[in-house]
Amino acid sequence: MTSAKPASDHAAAAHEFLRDPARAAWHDQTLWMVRMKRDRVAARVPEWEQLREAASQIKEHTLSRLAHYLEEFTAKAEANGIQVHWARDGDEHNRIVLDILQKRGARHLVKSKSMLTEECHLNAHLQAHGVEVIDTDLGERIVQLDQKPPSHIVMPAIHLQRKEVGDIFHEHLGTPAGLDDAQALTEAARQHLRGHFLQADAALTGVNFAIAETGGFVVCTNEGNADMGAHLAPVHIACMGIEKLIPKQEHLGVFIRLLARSATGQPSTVFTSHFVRPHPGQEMHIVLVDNGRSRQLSRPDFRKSLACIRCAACFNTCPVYRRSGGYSYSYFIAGPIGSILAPNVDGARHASMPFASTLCGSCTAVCPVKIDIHGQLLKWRQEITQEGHAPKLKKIAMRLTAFAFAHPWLYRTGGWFMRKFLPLVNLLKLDPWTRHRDLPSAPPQSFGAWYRNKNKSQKP
Amino acid sequence: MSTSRAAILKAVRSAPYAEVPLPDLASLHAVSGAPSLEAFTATLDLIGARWIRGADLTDAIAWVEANVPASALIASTVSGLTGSIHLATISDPHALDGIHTAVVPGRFGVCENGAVWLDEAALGPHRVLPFIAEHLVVVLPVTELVATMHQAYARLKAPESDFGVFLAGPSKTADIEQCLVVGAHGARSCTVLLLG
Repeated sequence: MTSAKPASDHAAAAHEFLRDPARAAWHDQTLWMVRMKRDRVAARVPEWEQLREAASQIKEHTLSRLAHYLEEFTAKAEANGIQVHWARDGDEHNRIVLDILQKRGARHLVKSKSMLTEECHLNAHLQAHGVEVIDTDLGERIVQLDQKPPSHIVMPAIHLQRKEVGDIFHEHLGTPAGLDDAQALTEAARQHLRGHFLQADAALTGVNFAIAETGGFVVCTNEGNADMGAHLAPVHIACMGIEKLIPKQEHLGVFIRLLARSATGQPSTVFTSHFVRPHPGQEMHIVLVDNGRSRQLSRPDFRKSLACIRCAACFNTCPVYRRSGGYSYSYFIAGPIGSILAPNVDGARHASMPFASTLCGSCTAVCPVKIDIHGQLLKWRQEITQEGHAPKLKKIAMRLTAFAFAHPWLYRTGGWFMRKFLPLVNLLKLDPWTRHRDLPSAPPQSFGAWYRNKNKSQKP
Repeated sequence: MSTSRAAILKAVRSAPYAEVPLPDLASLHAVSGAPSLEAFTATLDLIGARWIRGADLTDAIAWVEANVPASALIASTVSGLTGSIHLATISDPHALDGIHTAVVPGRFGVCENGAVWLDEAALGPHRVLPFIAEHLVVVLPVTELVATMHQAYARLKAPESDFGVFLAGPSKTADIEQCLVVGAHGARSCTVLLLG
């Protein structure tokens, strides 16, 4: 998969983000606080590692028999009176949703959080056909009013400060100018969105887990917005990627215990809603979307990324995400998990994303389904470089390094030069690394010289 | 759309993926331990839910009378505890907007996360009841507790209900600068009346 569009560069965008050091520090601290909450609540579950292992194995099993479970789920869901639709890509998904709405004459859609519909650019498609789309998760509503995509998959408006939310609400919801009290702003949003819930003629939700055994699905929220929409509107459309399946209801026990603890440090979300059959008189639809997932499934090195339950623990722990913000990434899912999903969609366009990592492995350590995120980042770097999408400077640097390694005299001279002139690198800020910190001082001798001297002194 | 279904299933089947076995969850069930009222109420405190101990339904009725304004609209699905509106006469769930307090019977509570299972039978004719009311009261027998979500799903077995929710405390959000605000779209307060 390649694209004619130029790849937007993470490093350059991050540089822009870091122009405001106070704000960058605030962003870093805010997310680190969420990571600490996660640690505290996970530590209260002694069998935490056992849970992660079980979750990983259930997901791997499901992915290895995905066609079987898709068929089982569909048969059960249809028997339950749910209409099941299949979409190969984002465009087909959007057509299906629009078709459902048009058949009912629905023009006011309330949506709860669904990263899939972001992926498919559903809102723009529906709006172009005269459907009003209201995102009802508070964070999503804030960024929707601000005409921006979410910068984080769990906390969509995490990049904004209270005062900025106040400005957005003042402009769009008519709250008093300068209002920056979170309680008052949330209350204003509650009143505003309550009106939309009462007017909506259709509701769309995401899906956290779909259960093959029962044909039902589970939606998790803290605000209650998915339930407000789905139970009031005459039509409920639930959109899900085909990787959201789990085999049995008992497996929910494992995932529900992990999801909110990993995401926000809560023991569970406030609402864990289990939809099995539509309410009498209501229509319920499920749209199953592939959009590149079957391609990812066919790549043995990368298929485990499909186990992701979208908790964003890897975002909150990532030193690069915390210090560069969601908008520095070229894909709508930012952070470490986005950086291993995006190259499957378009390797050229998102070429810089797998490089937006220190490979420290913290993402892998917190992942509740044990995806080897940093290992996959490294593998994507290799693929992207082999396909010729690596940044020019990196290509030149790699060639120079290879040349130096192949010529010992050059390697030795280069080493001597660096030991002598390293302070100059710090002084002139020649390397991006040295913009914010100094390189450590160089050792007085090379390893080779040390080794020779050591052997000399040890000889009898 | 059947062509899309066939195309997706074909693509999924063609992925080279040797079957991985399912894990045995017995060991996770084994470490779950026994439920305790102390653990459950401690979690309710943690998640911002209020809890009140009572002996029987009489105490629940008295609590509602004492704590909900007399003029407020109360909808109850707890048998023996009548509200001020009759849910069966309301055909349109939108009419529930403005309800002050909903009183619903919980099937069982989960100690590790403070969630209470509410199924379709507990919600009455309108699933939206516990979400749309300004305040929520859950009546729960103290004997009906499980320790973990593993025990919770073991108790639910096959889905017996067309809809059900694990509800853990009042609706909340921290979407504005990570400031915790209670009362997002759902109930602004959640009180669990523990009877027995």
